[in-house]
Amino acid sequence: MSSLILPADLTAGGFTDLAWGMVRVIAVLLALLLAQILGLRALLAHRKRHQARFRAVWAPLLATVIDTYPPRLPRLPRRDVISFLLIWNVFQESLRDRSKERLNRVARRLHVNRVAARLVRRRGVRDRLIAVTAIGHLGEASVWPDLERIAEFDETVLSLSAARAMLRIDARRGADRVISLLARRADWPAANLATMLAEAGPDAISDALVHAARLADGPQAPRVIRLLELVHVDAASPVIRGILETSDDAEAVTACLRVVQDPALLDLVRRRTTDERWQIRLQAVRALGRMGSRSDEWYLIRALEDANWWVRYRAARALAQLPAMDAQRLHRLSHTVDDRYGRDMLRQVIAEQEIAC
Amino acid sequence: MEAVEQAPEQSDVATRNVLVVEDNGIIVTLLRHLLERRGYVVETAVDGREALARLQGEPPGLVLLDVMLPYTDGFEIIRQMRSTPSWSSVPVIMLTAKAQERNVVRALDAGANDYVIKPFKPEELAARVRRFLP
Amino acid sequence: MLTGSAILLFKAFQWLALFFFIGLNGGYILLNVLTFFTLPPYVRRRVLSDLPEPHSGFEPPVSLILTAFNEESVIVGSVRSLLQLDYPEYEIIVVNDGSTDRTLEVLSEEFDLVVFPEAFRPRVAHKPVRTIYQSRLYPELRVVDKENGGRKSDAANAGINAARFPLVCPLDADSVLQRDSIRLLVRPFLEDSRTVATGGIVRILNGCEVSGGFLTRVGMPRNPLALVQIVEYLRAFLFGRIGWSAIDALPLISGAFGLFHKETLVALGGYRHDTLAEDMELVLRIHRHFRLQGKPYRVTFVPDPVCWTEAPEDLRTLRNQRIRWHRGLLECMSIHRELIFHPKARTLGWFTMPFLLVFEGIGPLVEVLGYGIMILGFALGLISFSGFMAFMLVALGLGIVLTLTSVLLEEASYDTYPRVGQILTLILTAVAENMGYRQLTAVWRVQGMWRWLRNADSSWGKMARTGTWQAAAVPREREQPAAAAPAKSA
Repeated sequence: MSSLILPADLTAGGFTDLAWGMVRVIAVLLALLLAQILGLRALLAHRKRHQARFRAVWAPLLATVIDTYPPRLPRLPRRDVISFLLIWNVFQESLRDRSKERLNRVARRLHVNRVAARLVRRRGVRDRLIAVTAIGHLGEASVWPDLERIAEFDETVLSLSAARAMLRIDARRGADRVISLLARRADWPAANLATMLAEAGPDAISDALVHAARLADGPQAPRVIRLLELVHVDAASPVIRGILETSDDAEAVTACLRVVQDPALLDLVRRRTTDERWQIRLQAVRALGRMGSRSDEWYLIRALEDANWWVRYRAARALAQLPAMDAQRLHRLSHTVDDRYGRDMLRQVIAEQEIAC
Repeated sequence: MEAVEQAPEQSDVATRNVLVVEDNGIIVTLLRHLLERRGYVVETAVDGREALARLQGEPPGLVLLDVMLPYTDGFEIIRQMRSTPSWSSVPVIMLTAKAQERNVVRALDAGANDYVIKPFKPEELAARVRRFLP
Repeated sequence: MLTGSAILLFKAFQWLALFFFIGLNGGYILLNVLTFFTLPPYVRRRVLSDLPEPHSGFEPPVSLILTAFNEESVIVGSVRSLLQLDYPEYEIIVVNDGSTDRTLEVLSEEFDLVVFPEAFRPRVAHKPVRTIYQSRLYPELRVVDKENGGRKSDAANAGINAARFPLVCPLDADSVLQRDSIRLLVRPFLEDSRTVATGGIVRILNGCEVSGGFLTRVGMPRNPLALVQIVEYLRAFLFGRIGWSAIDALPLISGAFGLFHKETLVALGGYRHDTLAEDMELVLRIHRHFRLQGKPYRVTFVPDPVCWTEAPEDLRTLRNQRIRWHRGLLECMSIHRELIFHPKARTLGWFTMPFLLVFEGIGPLVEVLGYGIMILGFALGLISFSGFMAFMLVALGLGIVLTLTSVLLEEASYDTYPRVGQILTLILTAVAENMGYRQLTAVWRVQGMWRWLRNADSSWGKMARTGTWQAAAVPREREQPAAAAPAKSA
């Protein structure tokens, strides 16, 4: 049996030494942290005050461009160019035509355009982002190669900003470039792309987009096809026709049905209301609601009996949308349709219509 | 719904007053310059809450309202304005961004008198304001 | 009287405790340091981003599901604020979970509800729906009135069934959102089509000004408990979550506000009704489903503040909350124990789950024992004062270092509390948090563990019958202020 041992200190030796060593490290860390927290606070407060002072001077000054080119411009220190651009970019986004020209003149007069061109090459994301936006407004074509490069960066926001700048500098050339990059950039949200491309205008983007849609395959195809919504109807039609006629790719066909607008393609749409995949039937039914005429009632009534809830729902809504349909006829329909689910769905949609009025 | 034209109320002071409801200080500066140059008096509200607090007081001659405010829907503000008797006939011009043109229909339905899409031409905005406050 | 082996055991435990404290805190400190290089740039970029407004029609429509049980005083304000969200297409589904107060009446009066013949299709399980109403004033608002199911998960499932859009967003009735909250949570879905679920930062509402259902001014609470929870949230929940998401192993999306791909939820059967942590269980189930089948998917954390909720301001409610959270955590660990070290589970399997189990699950026990044994040892004269002090200073000191790094990171990224007075308050609170509060929550968590163990027998039985998720007769826990920040994990 082991003897009774009552050691003086179980923590003697390594344990205590290590612990006290750690305490020293911790003390240093705490001091550093406190310094940093308070220091950062001071820095941020200082920056804020500086910004406010700067703005108080320059915002009213720039505001005068809405009427005239400002006669006198104070000096702009190099380190304040970013603050200047922050204000300037907002003005550019809010104004059109002559005011924009005057803003650009002001920027050139202050050599901001040159600084911005240099900043585009800098590493810091913040400065770069602001500079890229400014370059887009300035229309500085000299920076084009840099913008192309940045548009290929992995980072989403920066690359997208570069794409937008290119579209603003030269709509046609920019559209070609951006659209050719689309297939690789799954991370560029279609929602934002659509705005940018719409801004460039259908004339600039039609050719490139139609061409890209024709070649598109794989997972990126639906995105490109959806963007066809922004293009002239007649330009998009042939591509959409091609896909609806021959393709069996569910995603591509669905995307086409979402954007189809040409009534000449109605037959192809009608055919798709019996596709075996519900997503395609769904979009076909919606398209009929958009473009269809009285003769399409038959297809939609048939779709009311679809096995899938969504198809039934959209079919009912599409019916309500058709030109010759009115509340009375809808009511009558809801009594004549055989299928119980179809009737239920019609009743729901009728109630929706009534409430909406 | 067509734009409702109302002659501005011939009340004493407020006829040249424009209330600008906008949270972006830079745009406020822009609008202030634009309007003051043309002889209007500019009041500002930086968000929906301030704007709604104004409803207790004297109405301005016109309200210039940004749809995209931080805490309140622009449409909600118009609705509340329209249900406050003294403010119900104050003309409202809404500022909205290009990509959201469906907002225009909503704006008119909610009771706005006119709208301006950003980016705008200063002269155009001034003309629209003049229409309600000559 | 001590034998040699007892002494050895004691010594071993000392070292274990010491390394546990160093490891736990050190790990998180390291995480914070790493986050320091990624988060502030992200926030700066987002603030500056001039990304064009999303084009109408391209953003996926969202169904908001607001579950309400006896919320007559807040429900109208809540719904009104949701009606003003800045998002092109969305619907609001309020699920009245058999309220016994005037919740339904108040909604009906305020929003002019009429009975609506909806072709309701129950795809996930819940208690029966009585009636569905549609608002005449707002076509996007519907109310589903159903029998009380005992828990929020039941109501949420009804909401999922009623939802018409591809993305669903379960919400608490007292969650305060920002106008761009949905827009922020939708981003990952737009940028990566594999995304099935996203969550964001849930901040503490106490002390802030709310107007019309929206947060209008950020402030600091006066209540010390609320203050300390703010700091705790920074330390324990926020940055950990960002880290988990970065290694693609986010174990939890807050029930207060999250965005999910509806068809995925339906395929998985919706929420379970037999766990206290239904939000965490759901996310783990999502992971499990996709990983074990090797299918591509993403669960992402959006490091932007999107939601604000009330934190408990009295000890009793806080205690109940923490006990419940811990039980929930252990339940989830148990339900999904298959994931631990599962070869197909990748980072979730070999890192997150074990980490959560050891440091969050069992950790509080080690913590409590660590303090307990050292104090006992000192009291019995077995440990010198020097040794005891050193240990305590390390344990508490590292905690303070960790909390302060979190405060610094918060300041550098979001700068939510810009005034000097507020920063000083945070610093002092950071100290207080580690000297008493953290230990107290550890004790509560141990209690939670004990309760979980005691219930385990009945739980085991239930778990054996996989697939039957009918609500056990557990009465709905009426929390005073709703559960605040996401709980159980890092």
